[in-house]
Amino acid sequence: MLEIRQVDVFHGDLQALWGVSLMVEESRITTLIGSNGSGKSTTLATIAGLLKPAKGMVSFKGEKLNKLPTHKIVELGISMVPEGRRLFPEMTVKDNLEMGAIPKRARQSKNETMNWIYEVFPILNERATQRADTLSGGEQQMLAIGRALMSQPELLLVDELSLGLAPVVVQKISRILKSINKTKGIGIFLVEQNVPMALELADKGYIIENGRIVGEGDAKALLNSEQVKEAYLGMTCEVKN
Amino acid sequence: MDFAQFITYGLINGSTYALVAIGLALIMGIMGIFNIAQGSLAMIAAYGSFLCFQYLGLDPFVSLVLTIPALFIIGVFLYRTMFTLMRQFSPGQKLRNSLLVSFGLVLILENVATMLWTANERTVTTGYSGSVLALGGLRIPYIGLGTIALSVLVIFGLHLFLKHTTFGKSIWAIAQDHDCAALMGIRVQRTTLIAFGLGVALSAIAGAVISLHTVSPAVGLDWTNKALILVVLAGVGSISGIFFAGIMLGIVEALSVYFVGVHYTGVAGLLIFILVLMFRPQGLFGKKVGV
Repeated sequence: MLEIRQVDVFHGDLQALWGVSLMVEESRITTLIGSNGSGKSTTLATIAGLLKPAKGMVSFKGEKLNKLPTHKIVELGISMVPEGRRLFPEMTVKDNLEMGAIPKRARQSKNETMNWIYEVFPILNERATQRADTLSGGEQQMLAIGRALMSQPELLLVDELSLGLAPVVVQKISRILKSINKTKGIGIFLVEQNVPMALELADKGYIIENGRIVGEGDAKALLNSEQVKEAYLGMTCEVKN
Repeated sequence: MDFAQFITYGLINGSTYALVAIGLALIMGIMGIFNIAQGSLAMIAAYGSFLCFQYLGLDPFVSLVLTIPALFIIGVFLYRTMFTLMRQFSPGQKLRNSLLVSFGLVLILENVATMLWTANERTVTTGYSGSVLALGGLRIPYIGLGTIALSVLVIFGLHLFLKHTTFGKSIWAIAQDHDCAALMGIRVQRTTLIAFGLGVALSAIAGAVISLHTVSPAVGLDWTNKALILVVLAGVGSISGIFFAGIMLGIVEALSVYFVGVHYTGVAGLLIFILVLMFRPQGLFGKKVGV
């Protein structure tokens, strides 16, 4: 469904991605794992159109995304849960959700979608009139996911689901993501530092290091591979330092 | 009763200040652009009202239907030519650069106005210009009543527009997080352009009121000066606070006239400006952030 082929991306003069290629299949959960600064978020920003690739191609359902502005990409059916949630802090929970339903196709069925999101995350319904910055971290993440779902995407990009959240909250939210994927068939592309969580949730995984894809495969197989065990150990060392 | 009369004039002046400041507040709070030419644009709009009155016989409140769209188009043109390139700048850079560029615009507008209409002061004198509503011993000019009503209407209308319509909320979302607004599917470029045009169009309303007092090419910066005090008093990003800040400045000035003397009105305004900056830099109505 989403294909990235041989993409080079720069931040100013610094090259962040080197010939990155990957595929995200329809209705499945794909993950991109790697350590801090390895190019995960850059990859997502490139898909969303916030960064433009210098070389290579990004396509979605056969349509080239390279030159499209971000709002067009959202209209095609890709929406993002950005790193650190990035809610609109001064707006209420309900207004935040409403901002997710800007694309034309999402507008007509705005109320139904909102009701569905309130079913999935009942806490958002309880907090509907509260300002977004009064929510707890976990609730904010739920709101960010809900807001992204408001555009009725076919592909949901999730940047660092686990960032700053307690393990038990991460587990709860990842279970909800899985059920959304199962019941609605929404494809999910998850970018994560929390490798075991990501690989347990996903069907397929890619490993990125220093802006290059260094491994890919079935998520369960990756979880048991030497390569990931080493990288994962490497990450725990990093945390300790 | 004398005292109440001063307060009444304070209210009227304050409403006028608020009308000039509202466009500045929108453009600064939402786009981070420091448009110091806001008062000069109101001055141009005031000449627009004056010309409409002189040649078409239109009342300044009626000619708003012409001046508002005209200023909107000017705003869009200015954004396209002067401010579009600043969109990738960091907030601080954007503020400094827009200040410099718009100061250039102040000079251009002043000189153009002087060339076209000379430096003489002009006033629109309508049939109701001198008439007052007598309320007991209190005398309220009809123009003043109109100014207060217009100010309430415009500012709270804008507040409701930003808080309760999808387009308004989109503008507000861009103010809070530019990139994330794009991720929501909001057409950031177009929305920003329209919001800037709207901010400049609001100066047409201020211009109509100014034309009923006096307008000359040099008044632009004076009005911007008052508007800036209001934006600081209200807190950057606060829209409805502008009205109350305007009323407050108007009344403080009136009190200083009453107790100290007419020469010190400017001093009083700048004094509360400094006090607010010292003790409450987020503004009186800014909950740190908020419309």
